[in-house]
Amino acid sequence: MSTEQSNQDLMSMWKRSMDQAMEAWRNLSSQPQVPDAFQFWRPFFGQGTDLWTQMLKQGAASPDVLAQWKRFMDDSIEAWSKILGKAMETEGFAAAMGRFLDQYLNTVGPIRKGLQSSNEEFLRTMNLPSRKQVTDLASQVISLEARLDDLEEQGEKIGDSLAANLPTRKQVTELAGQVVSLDERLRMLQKRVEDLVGSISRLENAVRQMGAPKATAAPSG
Amino acid sequence: MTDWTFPLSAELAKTLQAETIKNLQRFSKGMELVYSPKEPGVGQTPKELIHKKNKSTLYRYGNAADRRHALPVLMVPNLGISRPTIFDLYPGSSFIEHMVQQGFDFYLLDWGVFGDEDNGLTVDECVTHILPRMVQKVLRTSRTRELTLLGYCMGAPLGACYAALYPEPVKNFVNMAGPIDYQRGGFFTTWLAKRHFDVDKLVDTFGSMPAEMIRMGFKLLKPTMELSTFSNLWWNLWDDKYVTGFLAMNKWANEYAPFPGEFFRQWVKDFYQENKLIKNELTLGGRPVRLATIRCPLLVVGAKQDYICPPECCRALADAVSSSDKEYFELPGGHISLIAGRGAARNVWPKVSTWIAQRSQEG
Repeated sequence: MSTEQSNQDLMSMWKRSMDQAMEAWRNLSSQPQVPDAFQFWRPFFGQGTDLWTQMLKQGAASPDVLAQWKRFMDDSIEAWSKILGKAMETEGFAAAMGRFLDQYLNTVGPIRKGLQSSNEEFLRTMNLPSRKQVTDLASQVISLEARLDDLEEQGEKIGDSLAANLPTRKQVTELAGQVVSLDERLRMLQKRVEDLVGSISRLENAVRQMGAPKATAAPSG
Repeated sequence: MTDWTFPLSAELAKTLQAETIKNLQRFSKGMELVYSPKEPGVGQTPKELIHKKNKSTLYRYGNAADRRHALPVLMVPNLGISRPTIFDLYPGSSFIEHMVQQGFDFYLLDWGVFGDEDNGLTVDECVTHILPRMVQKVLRTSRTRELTLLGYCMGAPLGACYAALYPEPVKNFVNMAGPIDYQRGGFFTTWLAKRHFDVDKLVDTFGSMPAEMIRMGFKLLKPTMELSTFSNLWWNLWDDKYVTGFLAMNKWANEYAPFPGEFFRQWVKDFYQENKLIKNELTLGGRPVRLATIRCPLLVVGAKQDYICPPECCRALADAVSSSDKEYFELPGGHISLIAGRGAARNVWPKVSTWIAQRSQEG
């Protein structure tokens, strides 16, 4: 095929697409329920023209022209944003988006399913784990981790209840004080008992000494 | 020979010179951004990991010496959609840094990025298992019996459900741009309506709500956002501070996180399509969720131009609870302006921290 021929083809293709687009626009405008496209965009274009008119009225270009251009850009973007926002807020847009998503899922769903099963088959043949198997394993690890966390929680609760039943520092100090006092009293008691034992043994000795001569004098009489 | 002067006034010449220098700076900074981009250092406030449950992590911020308030604050952000780096962007522009500087014992629950293995996770599990465990960990670590729960975006309804089911440990509740009445949920209420959006089909096809689809949905909220972002970047390219902020924000704005499938299904059906939370029809973990059981002090913060959670959508919480101490606060700006940016640092953060500080006494 010559270059000239190919250019001709491209030209006719372009012409055809232009004709189709024009036809589509004509159809659109002939439908009574479709809003007037010009009315729809007029606020945006109007704002842009107003801005440029204002800028030109201010006189010749100055170094501030960049700032003016930025302001124009910001205002234009804001105008676009408002227009698009209004369009997207409508039920019509939501319905169109819903239909698009539905068609997308209708196409993607079977493809994904098909790919998944063929991939799984391939991986099984290669003796490799599939994504689903790895995911299942990860789910099991997560479930184990959750059980460990539950155990840790139980441990914490048991620790808390034990800690709640343990005596306080004040109670321990009081108890220690009582033990010290008891110890002191015991020591005193022990001293008294020792004194008593000493006295008894001294009394015993004295009794023994008093009784001894009589016992020795009896056989000689 | 006559004297010739350039036909420019001194003032005009000065402006021209300044503009030329700015443009040269724009050009050189632009080249630097394209050819040797620097990784923005987000999340620099010191933190320690307190607990991890599956993908969810509990962090505690700041140092013991700086903590002046008796009650800890637990922040619950959105699950999925984006990462919580927005709360701690960079020094000088971080909500968490502000809260730490105000003397709060601050905790953040990072839900994490869920994978295919978490597709069975539900809203029930988040509210009745993960949240209670994290609250327990906060109370144990801070050795208190109560805390302030701060929910941002989707974290607020999750937090409100928790506060309704387990009111004991919640001393104060703050809702920052968290949707409550989904009938008034703006764009998302229309887009996710049952008649247009088949959530079952989507979850059954993908198993989850993929991050790419979430990105598409959020970009659609304001399609001109990218254009204005980059136009502003070009305009401020000479300003180092602006570029640092842009890089950090841009990193966050491009990190989308998927929703676990079952969570998304329940979220869309129970919250957006049937609006069960405000109607008192929601049941989690077998227990009815009644917002009226919330009696603690409540602060609701809304943003006037919030497309994600319009002011009237979050304000509904103030009407639904039984608290006697409740306040609603609204300011200009969008959803993100509440938590990041100069406006947030000037108007929102001090308001929130002062409100919590006044109610942070134990007992």
